[in-house]
Amino acid sequence: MADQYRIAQPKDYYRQFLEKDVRPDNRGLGEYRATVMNIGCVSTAEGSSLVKIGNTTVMCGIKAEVAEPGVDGKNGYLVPNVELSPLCSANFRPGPPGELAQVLSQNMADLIADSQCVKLENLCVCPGKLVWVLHIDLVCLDYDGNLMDACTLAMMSALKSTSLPVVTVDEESGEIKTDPSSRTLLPVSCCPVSTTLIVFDNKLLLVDPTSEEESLATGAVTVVTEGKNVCSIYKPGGTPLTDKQIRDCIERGFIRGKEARSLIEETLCSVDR
Amino acid sequence: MATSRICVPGQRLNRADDKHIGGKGTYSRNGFIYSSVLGYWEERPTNDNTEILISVHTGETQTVIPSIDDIVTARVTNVNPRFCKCEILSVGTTPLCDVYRGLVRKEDVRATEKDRVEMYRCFRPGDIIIARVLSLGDAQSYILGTAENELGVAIGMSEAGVSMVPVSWCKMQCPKTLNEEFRKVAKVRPEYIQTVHQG
Amino acid sequence: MPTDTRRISGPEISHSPYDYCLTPPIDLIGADKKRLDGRLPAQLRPLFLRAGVISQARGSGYIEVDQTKVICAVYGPREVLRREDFSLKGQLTCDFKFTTFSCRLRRQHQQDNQEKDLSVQLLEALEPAVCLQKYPKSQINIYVTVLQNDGSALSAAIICASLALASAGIEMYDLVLASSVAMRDALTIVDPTEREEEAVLNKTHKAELNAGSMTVAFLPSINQVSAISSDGEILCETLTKSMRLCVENCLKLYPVLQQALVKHRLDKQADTS
Repeated sequence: MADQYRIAQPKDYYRQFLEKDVRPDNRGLGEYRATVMNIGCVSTAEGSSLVKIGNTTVMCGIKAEVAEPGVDGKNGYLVPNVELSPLCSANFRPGPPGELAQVLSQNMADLIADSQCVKLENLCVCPGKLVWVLHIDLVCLDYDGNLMDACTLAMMSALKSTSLPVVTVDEESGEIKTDPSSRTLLPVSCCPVSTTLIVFDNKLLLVDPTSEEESLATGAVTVVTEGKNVCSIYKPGGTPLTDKQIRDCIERGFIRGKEARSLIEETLCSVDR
Repeated sequence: MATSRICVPGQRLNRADDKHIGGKGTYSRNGFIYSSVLGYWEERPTNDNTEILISVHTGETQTVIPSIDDIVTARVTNVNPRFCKCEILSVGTTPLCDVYRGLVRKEDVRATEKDRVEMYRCFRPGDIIIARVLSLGDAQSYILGTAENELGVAIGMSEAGVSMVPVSWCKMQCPKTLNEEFRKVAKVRPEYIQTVHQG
Repeated sequence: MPTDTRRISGPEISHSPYDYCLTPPIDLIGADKKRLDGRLPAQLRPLFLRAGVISQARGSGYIEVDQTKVICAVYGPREVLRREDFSLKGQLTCDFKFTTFSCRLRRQHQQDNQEKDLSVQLLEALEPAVCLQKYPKSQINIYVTVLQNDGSALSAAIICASLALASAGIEMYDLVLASSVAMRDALTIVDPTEREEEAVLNKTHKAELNAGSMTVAFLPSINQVSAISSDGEILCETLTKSMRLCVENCLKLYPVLQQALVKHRLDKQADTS
């Protein structure tokens, strides 16, 4: 019967819980779900990782290719794309990416550009001749909300584990040679982490929303932090927030950022590279 | 004899002779009873004790789709003078994994004075109704009916957006504005109300 | 190539770095009568199966055959949305996709011809096993994603999908198992890896008449073959022999699939109580 009530009157169902400062899955309002990470799980990719936040699962695979540089002659390419396949939720249908997937892809591209975690000039193989193209593909395997945080975490951990084969270009003949046996690590200068909160009933802030909570939200905020700095705040419309609430969000962002970064470091140390 | 062995689809359970018959979650082929689902194997004598009924129970993970004569819970999405459209949310007490579209036609709303039914005085979008599946309908939707005392609006949404309290079989009152609105009210069984309020 | 406006795109032309290094042709079998990965010709790879990995799906499965990793979700029975697809018998749909980073060379986001072909083969292998008449007016959607391909992806997908269907509580006449073999000349190897699959179909090798691979889907309890697909040129006699070998191998996998399902059922019971 509780199930039926949950389906018929989801908002009322949630209010009953939130009055007591607890969520239906027993979490506090500011509590994250358990986060699990696995790095280097796909050996056909140059870098890969799997991130689970609660049920939400995202896999990131980075495939490196080489191409001729653009007019500047030395900048490489980073191409992030988020795939929300019909596999991960009943709400997605086969076909071209929907609005959400496009927004997330753009968010990922902005995140890299804003934080400068991977500098494009570091992706140069031979100036004027050859640069790296890193295709960063994020595949959602299970959609249970808060994809933004799962995607950034997956992308950053995959980037940090990326190793590229040594490619050389012969000065005279221009011949390209690859030595797959020796590899170099991709330089990643920093590690931005995002923290997403939703607004419930125009007043309560809930950290790390599930998909059900997302569907009931009246607004959402994503804070991206890097070390002691705020990298970006993304608030696509919704309920207006007070100064104090925004500051609260940033505070949460720092706490989460610290946790997430140490998780990445721990995982990187534990896997044999 | 009750066994709680787990069986998988395609597992041979018994001979299909005059002593054994296959029940839910099984199928017969070439004189044998096989399981058709993943679940628990159960053998039970039939009421007259002459045969043994073999069935496989899937437990809480039942896969249901609406079928004729089922009681369903649905949310009204669209009302017009001839019919109202709704989304079927659950069959009996089992929630559906995906909503199915349903339709209540004007003539199926109540049992008496069918020709004097006005749809707008029976249902409003957002209402949660209890209805019976009359037929599988067409490609679009299932045909539902509410022509019984126990069927009709269970949770009515007032204009103020609050769930209303039934005051008679055709009226509900909004606790916020105290306005009365017309509905085809279901006489909801008391045990249902109790559990709903417990959440 | 048509441009994809809904995705972030990189440079128009890019190449895999591995195009610029030599990959020596491999021998299917070494001097010690063993294959590249140390297996005997008739030896299967270890198999890992798990049901219930995707929380949003009705049923789901994950399979790992050494380096081949496939995930599958089953949604439905749900309403048929398009009017022309309406039928009083249930419908089964299959969607087969390789992730872009799953193979040695990068794949595209859009479903290519090979993936469409594999979708149909998967559907044909599974359809005879599902009691579709129990689901009037509804459809059951199967989505398969290959996370990493190291050969025999189709047979892994069939097993995984059958696991997902059964865990979704869909009524079935039987489970479906599948197995692949590759042949060249007088040599038959079971459960080929990607490199072995490639080597068999390699045109430069002067194979006399036998060169190809085949996949057989088998319903173990009914004792029927639901689908056979073969590639390359194979002698009739070898083909029948290989088919028998595939069926034998399928039967070896049957207990693994059964155990995975029983474990899933017990886990679920433990969760609810």
